[in-house]
Amino acid sequence: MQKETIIPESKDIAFRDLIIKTPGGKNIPTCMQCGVCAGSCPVSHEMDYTPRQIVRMIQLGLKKEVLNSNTIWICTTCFSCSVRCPRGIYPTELMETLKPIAMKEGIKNRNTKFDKIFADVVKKNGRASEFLLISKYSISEPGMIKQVPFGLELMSKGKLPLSIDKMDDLRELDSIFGLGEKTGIQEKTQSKEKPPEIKENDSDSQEAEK
Amino acid sequence: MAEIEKPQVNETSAKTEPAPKKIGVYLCRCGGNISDVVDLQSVAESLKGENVIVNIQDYLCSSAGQDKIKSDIEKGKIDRVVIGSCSPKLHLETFRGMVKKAGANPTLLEITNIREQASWVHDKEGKESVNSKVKGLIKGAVARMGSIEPLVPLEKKLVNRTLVVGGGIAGITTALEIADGHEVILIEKQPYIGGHMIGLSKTFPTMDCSQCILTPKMVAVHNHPGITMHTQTEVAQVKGSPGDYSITLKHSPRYVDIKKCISCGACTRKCPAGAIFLPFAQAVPQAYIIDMSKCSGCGACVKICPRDAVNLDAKEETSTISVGAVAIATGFEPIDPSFIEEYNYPAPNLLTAVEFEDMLSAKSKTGMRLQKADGSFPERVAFVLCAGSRDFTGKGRKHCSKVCCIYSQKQAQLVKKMKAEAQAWIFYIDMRSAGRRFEEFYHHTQEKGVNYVRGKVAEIIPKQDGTLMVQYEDTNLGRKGREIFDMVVLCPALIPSAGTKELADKLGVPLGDDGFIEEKHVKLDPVNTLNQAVFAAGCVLGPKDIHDSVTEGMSAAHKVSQFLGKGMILIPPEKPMILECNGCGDCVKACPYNALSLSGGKAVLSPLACTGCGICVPACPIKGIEIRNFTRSQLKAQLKAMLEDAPGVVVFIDPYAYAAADIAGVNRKQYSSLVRFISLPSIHVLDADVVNAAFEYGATGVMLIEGTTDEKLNSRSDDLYKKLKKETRKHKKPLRYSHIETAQYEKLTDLLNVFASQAGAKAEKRSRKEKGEETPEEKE
Amino acid sequence: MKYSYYPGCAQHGTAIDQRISVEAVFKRLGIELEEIKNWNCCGALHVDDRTTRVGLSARTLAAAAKGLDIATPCNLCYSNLMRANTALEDSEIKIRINGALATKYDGNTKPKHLLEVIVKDLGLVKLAEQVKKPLKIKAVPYYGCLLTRPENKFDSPENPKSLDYLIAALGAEPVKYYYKTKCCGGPILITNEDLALELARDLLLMAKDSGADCMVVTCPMCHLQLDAKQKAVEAKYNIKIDMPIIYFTQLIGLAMGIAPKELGLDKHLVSTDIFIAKAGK
Repeated sequence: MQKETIIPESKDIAFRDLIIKTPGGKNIPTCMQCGVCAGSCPVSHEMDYTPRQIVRMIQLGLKKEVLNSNTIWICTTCFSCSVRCPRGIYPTELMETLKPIAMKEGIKNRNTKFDKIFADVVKKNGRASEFLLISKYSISEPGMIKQVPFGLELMSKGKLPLSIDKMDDLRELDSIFGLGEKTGIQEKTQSKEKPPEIKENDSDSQEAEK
Repeated sequence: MAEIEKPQVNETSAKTEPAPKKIGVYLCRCGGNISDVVDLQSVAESLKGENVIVNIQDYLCSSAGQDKIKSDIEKGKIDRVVIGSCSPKLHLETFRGMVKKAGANPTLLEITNIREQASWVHDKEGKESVNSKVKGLIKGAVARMGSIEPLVPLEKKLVNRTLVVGGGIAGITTALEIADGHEVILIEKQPYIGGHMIGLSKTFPTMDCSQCILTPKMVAVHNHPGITMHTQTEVAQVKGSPGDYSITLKHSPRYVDIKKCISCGACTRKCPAGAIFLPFAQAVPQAYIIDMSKCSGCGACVKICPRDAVNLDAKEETSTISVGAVAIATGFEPIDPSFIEEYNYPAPNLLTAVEFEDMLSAKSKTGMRLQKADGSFPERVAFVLCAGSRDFTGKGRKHCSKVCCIYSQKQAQLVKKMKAEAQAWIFYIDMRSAGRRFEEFYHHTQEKGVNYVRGKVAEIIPKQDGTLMVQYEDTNLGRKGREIFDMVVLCPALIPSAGTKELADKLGVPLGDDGFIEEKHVKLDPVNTLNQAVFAAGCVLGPKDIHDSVTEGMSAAHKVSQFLGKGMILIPPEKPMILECNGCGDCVKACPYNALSLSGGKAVLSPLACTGCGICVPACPIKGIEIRNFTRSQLKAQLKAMLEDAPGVVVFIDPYAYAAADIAGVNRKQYSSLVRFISLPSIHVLDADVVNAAFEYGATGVMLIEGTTDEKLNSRSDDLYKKLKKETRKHKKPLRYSHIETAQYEKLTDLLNVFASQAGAKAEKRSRKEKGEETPEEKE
Repeated sequence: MKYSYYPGCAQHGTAIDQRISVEAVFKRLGIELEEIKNWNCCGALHVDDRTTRVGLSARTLAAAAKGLDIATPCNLCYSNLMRANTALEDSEIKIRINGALATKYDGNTKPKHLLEVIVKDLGLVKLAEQVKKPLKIKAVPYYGCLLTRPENKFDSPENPKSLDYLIAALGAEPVKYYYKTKCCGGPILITNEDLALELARDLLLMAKDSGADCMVVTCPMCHLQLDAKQKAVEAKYNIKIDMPIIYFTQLIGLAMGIAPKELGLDKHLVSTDIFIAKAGK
């Protein structure tokens, strides 16, 4: 993604304020950019922005860059950054916060695809059958064909059973998965209710009209 | 003026005839600090019925502000002054000095703290409630001013001798600077003086040798006729009071008589275990020492010593000294970085900066050679800043250790100087080189080819070959990096040396929440403590370099000399008066300081021994004792006026906890504006009479907050609380006691908030009940 | 000793070897694991909505037998249960989540990893009493990331020691291993295999360097990464590793003298034969 000049209009203050209110976000304003998070991260070399830079961008409200970064999908959720941050920020929690927001903004990639399949399988069966996950995911990811020999090897050891382990009673799952939909809506309305964003959008559109 | 009496004798009160009291109330806007939050005009108007003169100034502490009060006194308009301004800690002395010059009695001026206890801590609440609080406080203060009597402070002779605790550069400077005018006893916990500085190699920014500049000073201390030096010595016990302390010192055995030893070294040559030694050639005192963990007790040293100086049976000893003032210069120690588990300290070639210095200093065990565990020179050295500092998670320390940025560059320069091709890397978060000649030093170090990386080191992994892998983010590039080093030097957080708290407690000196000694005023009284006879210098007041330690040593010496130079100390005149006595002796038994005795069947007070704690007041079964200016009726008058217009939570608070409230104010920690402090010399002056009155006048709850670390007082607080609880039960309102030391200002505000909301909830419930039914329950 | 048991989804598939060993070992240790009826998936790291994931764990926690702690063999499940409990300390979230549950959760069920059950509840002294064949091997204690992070109520998040002590109690030697809690790459195996293999490689090479005979793991995900994917690591980086990856329950079983087959050791993709032979000496 091209890096644009940061101008007042790049900043979405409502986004920043929303993230600060989520778990692990309270201390975002106190980040001193020491980089211990990125230095601790086992996968930060693959990220387009390091966790430190993500925190900085949240401080500024650079919503677009944050949600489009690959950082949130590269994160392995190992919490190394979180236990070392001297300011008590939990970058891992931030990644978890950002994932559903990015998905709602229409971000699509291998991870969102797999996560949707995973959630689907769990919602339908209550449990995550590895066989079901892999086969569903493979249908949409042709590259997975390479994994067939590996799958067969697991099968030969009885580690990839074709039988699907299921819950006996699936009744509560719909309402549990409904929780997420509700939060999603709340997050959205919350971010729209903030006056600064509306103002900035207005000035944006006015300028565009000119 | 009939009321203003000149100090006469060394006895407390001056009898007052009931003349009309002319009170002036002066409110300070503090350049908006107060007036932006508090509507002072409405406060002034609320005093209309009070028969007082009210005046509002931009800055009362300015000469214009003071002149106004002064001229009002001189013109005879007023003779008593209530000031609404910042904390009395800042300007009480200023104002009282001015009042004295104007011819009034200084004790008839009091300050109501409407900045630290109102405008700074309630500015997030509605203006109404803050205004209402300030009105209450000022009305209370006016009522109090109308009820108190003019007192003259007592005088006590000072002991013209100072104890300096700590023999590092700050203590050495303090001792030398005092000693030309006043006798000094200098004690040091370690066997030799010189502190951390003697363990340094070169000193920044000039790179001169530490021993070269310090050794002459150490010798001067040793030779100065006005200084008595004790090494291996600590303070065991403190008795007495400011200006007249009796301090017990504990001396650990050296097994070598300092006076006899001529450091000929015969013993060292003879010792088979290497247990007797002089750690470095310039050591002061020049006397050997035995490490008993190595000594086999063979006695070879005893036999060989030509001076009979060795005594293997030496035991710990104590001695008692009498001093008027104490200067604390106990310095710092590096935090043990092993708690930072991802750094894997200790490991071979992974050192602290102190260990690095040790290798190159007078104390060196490697012949002043920088070397790895295998004896070879480290070709690649990394310096890791902020190891355990700037950490707000509770694992490390919050504060910046100030000197690491510069000393690590000095160490990096030393590496480059020893071998130009060697690599030195400095990992930093922010390069802080504020201070004269420091930015130039930074620039010079860059020129030397030291490699700087902006990024906190994430982890250090020792390899089997003795090298160390360092992982970090180069935050300037946004890229993760990994390097292998031969040696890694951690720059650990600098913390107060072990025992600081114990010493401070013994001397009644509060610490900040970082563990360093709290200054009387952070900017304006930087080497005074909250105890007028105790001063501090050097790193016990926070990490600093040699230059600043020396400056503080000199300042502290000046302050000590000024204090001792007066020859006497004024002690507060708020002492007990014995109005009625049946000779039962209960007060004599209660007094923790032996200030009361029975004479001719009546209790008699020795005012100089008395600390004014007031424990005798509730102890007297016939209510025959009152503390001057804190009598039951005076406190009740203040309470009544304070709560007349609006109820609140009354918090009786002692000076140490009051200091915590001041810090809360400075840090703008918000708490409920229902809180109304009443300042007392100690909470032990209270009895159920006063607390019941508070409830009757409308307090929704009462708290007792005590900050003193004096065991004699707080060991009795629980009993006091239980007794008061029992005797005020009928009001069914909450009463709480809490111990809050000066450093615990956050705990204080949390507590105030919780209590205020509990008291509020209870009051609401009560009023609902009163409206609903008539029969109140008996049980609380 | 009795626990409400939450096996987690992997026990039905890739972690069948762990399941076999857990059954064999816990029965002999006299620790009863009563499987929760109708338990559900914890959501792993792939149910992205946080509230939903807390809801999933809350449901399982509510389904546990009253008065019993929950035991689980999986780091991920354990971590999710712990984090759910923390999230539910917020009364607002608790009310919302309980609104979606048939059986309300009071927030008081304590999750425990099976390692904690052995080390803390049973105790290593009692475990050592059960050792019939002290294992004369060197083992890498590998904890994985989520056993002690972010909640570190059980052991240190950086340098835990409980597995080290357990290995020592079985007569084996825990080697110094600086990557104890580094991520194995499991969570991104399917979506980012290249990176996942890189992480596994670093762990395996460090283990190989330490001269250990095996790597001991506590989590099905780590096992999948380090055992099942070891061959892929070797192929990708053209290196030879041959490091047996042993569940800690299997290691206990061996020391108790249980037959390797009864511990599922024949179901590994990296051969355990040489290791078993050495351990059995």
